[in-house]
Amino acid sequence: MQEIFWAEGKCITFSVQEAFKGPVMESFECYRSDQEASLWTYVKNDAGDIFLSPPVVLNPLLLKLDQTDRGLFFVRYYLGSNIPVLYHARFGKWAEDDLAILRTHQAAGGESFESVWQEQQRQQQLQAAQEAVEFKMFEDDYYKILRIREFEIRRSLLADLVKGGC
Amino acid sequence: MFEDDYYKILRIREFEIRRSLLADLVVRMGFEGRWSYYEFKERYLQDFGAYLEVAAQQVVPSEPTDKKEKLWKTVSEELNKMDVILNARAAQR
Repeated sequence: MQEIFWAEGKCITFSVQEAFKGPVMESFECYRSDQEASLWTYVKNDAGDIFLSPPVVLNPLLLKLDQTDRGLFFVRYYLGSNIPVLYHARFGKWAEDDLAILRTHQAAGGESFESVWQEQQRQQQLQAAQEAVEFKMFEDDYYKILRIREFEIRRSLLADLVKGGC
Repeated sequence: MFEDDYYKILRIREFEIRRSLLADLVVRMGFEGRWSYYEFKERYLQDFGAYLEVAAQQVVPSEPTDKKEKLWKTVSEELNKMDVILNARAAQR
């Protein structure tokens, strides 16, 4: 067993716009740990249980963080400690999608995350089915318009044929 | 000559009708203007740009995967072709 040193670890300060768990703060600090491909973490709980946690591979997104990045960041305590570490991040559309479900969950009060998620899945399926019907209608309309052009070409060819035959 | 003129007029009318129906279809689908790769790319980068940076083999797709947006692209290309025809006709006058 040995102490961990994060030679390339970083302390990151976040400005918080929305928090979904834990105390609400304007900003907070957490750490980005090093890649620990061969390190098994030794953990012991209050009940005296001991176990080894498998190595954690850092999400490559966390290695490329920039001061201007905005996204949804997931922080937890490093196993067996009270050191907050960043372990996941979502950006762009996927962050927006996750934020939407987290906001719904927060607004739903006591409702479980699982049931909120299932309801959202159901809504998305309904919406997809509705969009598929709508799309079929648009596609049909497009082919109808194309047929006008074919009609126009056919008529023009026939007119030429009639003229040619005279 | 009169007959030719008559068919020309009919064809112009059908061309205009088709053009107007296609433009109307774009609006009914909920899009604004014509599909452009530049705007598609910008949107893609905004939505998924962070993920592209960490996966070197991943690039911005050359065309949309969403069926509705694909149709928008097809209709826009048809309208662009019609513009070319209109411009050629205008140049001939």
